[in-house]
Amino acid sequence: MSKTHLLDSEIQQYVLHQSMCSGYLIEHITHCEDCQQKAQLYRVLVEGINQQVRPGFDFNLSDLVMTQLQPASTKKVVYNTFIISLITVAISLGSSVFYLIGSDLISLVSIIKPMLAYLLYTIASCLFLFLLLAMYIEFQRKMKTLNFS
Amino acid sequence: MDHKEDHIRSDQFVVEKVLRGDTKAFSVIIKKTEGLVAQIVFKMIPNREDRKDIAQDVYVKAFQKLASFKFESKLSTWIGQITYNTCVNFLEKKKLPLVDTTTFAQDTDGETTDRWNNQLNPFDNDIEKHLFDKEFSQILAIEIDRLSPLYKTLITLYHTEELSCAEIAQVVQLPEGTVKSYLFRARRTLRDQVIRIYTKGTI
Repeated sequence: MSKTHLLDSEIQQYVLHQSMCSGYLIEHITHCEDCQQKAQLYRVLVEGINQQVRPGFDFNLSDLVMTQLQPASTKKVVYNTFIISLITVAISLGSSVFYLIGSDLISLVSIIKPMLAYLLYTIASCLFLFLLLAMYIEFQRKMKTLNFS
Repeated sequence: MDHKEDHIRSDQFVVEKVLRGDTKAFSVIIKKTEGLVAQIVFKMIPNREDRKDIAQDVYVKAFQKLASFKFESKLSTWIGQITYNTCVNFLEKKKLPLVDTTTFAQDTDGETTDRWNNQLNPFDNDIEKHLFDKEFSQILAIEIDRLSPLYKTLITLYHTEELSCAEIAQVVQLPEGTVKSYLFRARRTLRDQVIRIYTKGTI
């Protein structure tokens, strides 16, 4: 038997996975009272941990969570409906504007200089994109509030 | 191996049910994993109200991300991972330490801090009787609670939830070797604390 005592890690290994320990380790511990006591304390600790009462929530977690969940499919339907109605409104608005003042617009475009036309076109596009983005952000914010508040 | 496949198959069944729109099936997932979530939340979060919020937050997140679950691990391990991350984020927000750095610094130098060198046999050869001692169990519970959140969680997942080191590594997103090393340190710290209590004669 080696006179050097076992390392703490070796003692833990002996207590928890005795079958995986080397022969030297088992032989030492069998003959060494000090190491046996150390192993015994770890055994007591491990048993004590195993016997600890399992914590549990003092409320019905399932019920609380389920009230906050919205089916994935419903979410998708709401989102799709929003997008489709947005496109429909945009198309119908554009068509009616074009139907009402279409001929005037064409003549106006031909009258004003091309540079000015491009400028107007760019400003209108930027405004449209900005408004679309703002609407989308607002929609997401509202959806989040509806889901979690 | 078969046991693992059974787990994956039953996880797959419930997850697909939820993803097809049967939201009620999600309550089965909650019931199955609530114990593990409670263990992690109780060990990491000290306040009752915060625990309540975090537990709900975990499952809402799990529901929202369910489509991204790839069955590379058990569903419970994946939910455990979400729980751990949610708790870590909470602790970071509150500026609470995940690992007690003072304990950590003391116990990193291997075997030199071994209290057994000076305090052999604190139970006076009467260790066995402490095993079923109610008072010992209470003291142990207090001392476990005094460990850092990470140590507490690792000890609980390994010894109470009986998760393997590989599974714990997935939950806490640390290498398996690091988990083993932390577990070893956690047990030693706990042992030192218990020895300190017994040698002080507070019992």
